[in-house]
Amino acid sequence: MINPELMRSIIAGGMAMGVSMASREAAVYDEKGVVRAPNLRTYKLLHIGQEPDYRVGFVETPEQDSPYGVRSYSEHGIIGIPAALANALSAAFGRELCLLPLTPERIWKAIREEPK
Amino acid sequence: MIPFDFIYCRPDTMEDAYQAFVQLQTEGKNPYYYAGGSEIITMARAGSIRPGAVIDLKWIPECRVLSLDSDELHLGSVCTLNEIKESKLFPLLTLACGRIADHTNQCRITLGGNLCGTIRYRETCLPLLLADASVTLFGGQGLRRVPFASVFNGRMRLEAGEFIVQVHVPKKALQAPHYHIKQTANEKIDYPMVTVAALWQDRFLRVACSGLCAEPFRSAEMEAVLNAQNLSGADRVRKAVELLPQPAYDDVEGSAEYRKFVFQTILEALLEEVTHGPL
Repeated sequence: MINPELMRSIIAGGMAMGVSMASREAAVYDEKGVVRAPNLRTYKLLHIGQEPDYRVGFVETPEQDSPYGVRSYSEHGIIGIPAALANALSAAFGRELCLLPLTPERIWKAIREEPK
Repeated sequence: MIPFDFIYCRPDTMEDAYQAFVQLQTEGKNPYYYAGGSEIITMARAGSIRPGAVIDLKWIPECRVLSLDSDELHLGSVCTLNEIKESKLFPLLTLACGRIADHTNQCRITLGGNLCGTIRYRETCLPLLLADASVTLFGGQGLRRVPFASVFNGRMRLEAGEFIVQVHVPKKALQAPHYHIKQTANEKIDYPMVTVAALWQDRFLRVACSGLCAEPFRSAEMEAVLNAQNLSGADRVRKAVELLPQPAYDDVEGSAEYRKFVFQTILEALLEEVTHGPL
């Protein structure tokens, strides 16, 4: 790893986007197709102060086809987080929750519509 | 930015403010009374309002009062939420002010602005409705003092050109046991999905609510049910939820059904705490 702290930051940044996407972000439309949350006042993102503790570890595997075996990386953290959050909440509520975003209201609806 | 010019008017007396309003209105300037400005600035930037003049009430001494005498607490209409909060004179109102917007905005938003604004929650009205507060207004009739509930029905029902000078809270209500429960969709700092404020006075639970319906309310019918000694706690809550004065509100923050569910769980927690003490 060339710059471990920078790599940790990029991955944690991706995880933050994943938490935000999975827990609250949705493009909701009304029956006329108008966006119901058209600005950042109503379309709410996860923000500073709401971040959980991100734990990042790396498994170093050389990329055989590239010069020096180097491997690029990016905000890969975003990919696994929605599934991780959905698994955690599914385990907590004892039923499969797989529709994003997993807001309190959506969870309430899922539980009400499909009693245990 | 605000993409138009407007007149800024800064009267020193109540009479000057009212006269300025009448004059500017006659000239077709569409004047607005101005206090903290948080809502007027935001809405003027967004293009939802276009005032040709604003009349700043913050330099009128009567509107700046924040004092306690032997009978009442007097709150000037341009006191900021933070000033009211830090005075700690009315604990329930302190809680309500402390949960409106963030600290920066609490230092701008005023009591009068929160009550008279177009943002529908107006959460400072809840403690005032519960405390049987009264309000002093200034307008075409000069000064008049009336019960707060007689001019606040979901929003302030003022006469043309009239503005709030002060709110008066009876001393009895200031130290009564109280509850304030605010539930948002997700964030701590946000508009309420449902806010419930309650005051225990004369062995009777007074309850007011914002966010649940289009406008905030205190309902005598709902209070009667919540205080019905012959009913179980669960029955009281169930009946109270059926007594909404307007349909539950439905928007992107929360559906009507969900708001009713949140209201029900808040009432359950409230009755539990009133009966058995803090959890």
